[in-house]
Amino acid sequence: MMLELLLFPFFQRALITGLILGVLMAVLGVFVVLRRMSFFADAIGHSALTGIALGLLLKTDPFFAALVFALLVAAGIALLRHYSHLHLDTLLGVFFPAAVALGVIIVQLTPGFQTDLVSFLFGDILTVSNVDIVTSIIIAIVVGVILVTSGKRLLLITFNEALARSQGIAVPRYELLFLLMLAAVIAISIKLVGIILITAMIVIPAATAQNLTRSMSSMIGVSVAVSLIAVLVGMLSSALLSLPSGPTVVLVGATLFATSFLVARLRSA
Amino acid sequence: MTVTTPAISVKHLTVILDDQTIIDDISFDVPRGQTTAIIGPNGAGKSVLVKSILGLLPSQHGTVQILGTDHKHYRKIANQVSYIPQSIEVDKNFPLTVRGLFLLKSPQRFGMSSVEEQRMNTLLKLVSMTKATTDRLNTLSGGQIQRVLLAYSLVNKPTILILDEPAAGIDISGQETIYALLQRIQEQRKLTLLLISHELDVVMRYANQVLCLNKKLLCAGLPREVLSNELLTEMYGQPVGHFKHNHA
Repeated sequence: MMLELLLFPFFQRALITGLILGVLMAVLGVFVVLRRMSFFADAIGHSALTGIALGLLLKTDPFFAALVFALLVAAGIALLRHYSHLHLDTLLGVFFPAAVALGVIIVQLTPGFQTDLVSFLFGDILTVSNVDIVTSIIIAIVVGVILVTSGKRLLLITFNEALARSQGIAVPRYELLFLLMLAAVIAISIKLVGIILITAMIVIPAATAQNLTRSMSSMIGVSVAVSLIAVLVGMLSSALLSLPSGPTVVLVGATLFATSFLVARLRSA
Repeated sequence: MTVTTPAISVKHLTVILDDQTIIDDISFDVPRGQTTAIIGPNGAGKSVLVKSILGLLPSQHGTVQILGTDHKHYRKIANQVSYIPQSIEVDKNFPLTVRGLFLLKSPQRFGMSSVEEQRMNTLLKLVSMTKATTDRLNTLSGGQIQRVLLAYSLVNKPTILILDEPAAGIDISGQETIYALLQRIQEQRKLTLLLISHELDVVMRYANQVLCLNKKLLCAGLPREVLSNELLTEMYGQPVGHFKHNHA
């Protein structure tokens, strides 16, 4: 049954895209968790709803519209953060509901959108196309190059911003770069996991790794491993048991997190 | 830039944050190869002054030159300056080891070269923290973190070292260790040291120049010459009991 499943082109597409995005979400998730930015990831995910709705209203590819909208929201938040004295969570507290409110109103104005709403909110592997695989690979290459060339600087900024600035690192530029990377990965992952659960797939692998590891490199490695297991087991289970893909992947991840939590407690006891 | 150019030159610097004047039109030079201490009461603007010098705050009135370069172009000379912020708080879940911190300063894409590894070990030995290489930063005491940061700040062989209250939150013996270490490093490497300190005894003992700050610059010069009980009372708003003032 499982082998048969792997022969289906739709499942192959979803699995390939899921594994690529799983690695990206896991690595970026380490930065999100260490910088306590899960609220930002949530805001970007939810603002993508508005992008999807706008795309449908304007009769363009809704996921491309979501990608563009998520990038614009990320850039907007980064700029506001730079020029405002307000904290990031305060800015997100304004952006987040405003974007969702706009999305809901556009949903009401868009005929036929409501029928697809569940797949947008919770993910649907049937919607993953060859174009999504190519897009995921392109984003993976871009993010990979940025992380290889700037990863150490991003980690130093994560550790201590003042220390990073004093070493001549252009912190606002790297922050913008990070937020754009995160927004791109979130927008492209919505088809698989859905708007509601996207934050979980970014936070859970990194949080699980944080329970088990003591160095930065091992945290990244374990986060990637947890994400890949969650995607693989979750997607296979969802297809075999006819469950929605996003929630199943997230539940597998949450189970791994709970296990890591218990292991960490036992270790420290 | 001539040999006599000061390490840091501040001219008519005014810093206004949230419509409040934190630093009011101050000018001073920090001579090369010497220790300059900034003292002042809480809220005097000491940390703001240091951050402003480093260009970490939005543009201000006045000019600041570091090694003859305008601080607006700080990135050009960032490699020659090291800064240790006031008591870095390390989250208990932050998975960064001492070695991991040094890795972040290496220009290598991954890891660090054997030369860099050797330098890390030498510097950690200098601050007596060799055994802590694989320890996570959050497991170290405040004094140990400061010593690690001091070693870390010397990686790029800076000519200027700026420290914001290097002994804050550390017990008395730990403070002595930090300042003795700083003095030794400063003398060995002919570093220009600019530090914020609350310890007047330390200032008297180690500083070649003291800057008294309370929004305005109230004194600048040799500690033994410019510090008086009257000035300190004026600056702190009350007599500073423990200050031992001996005119040379």
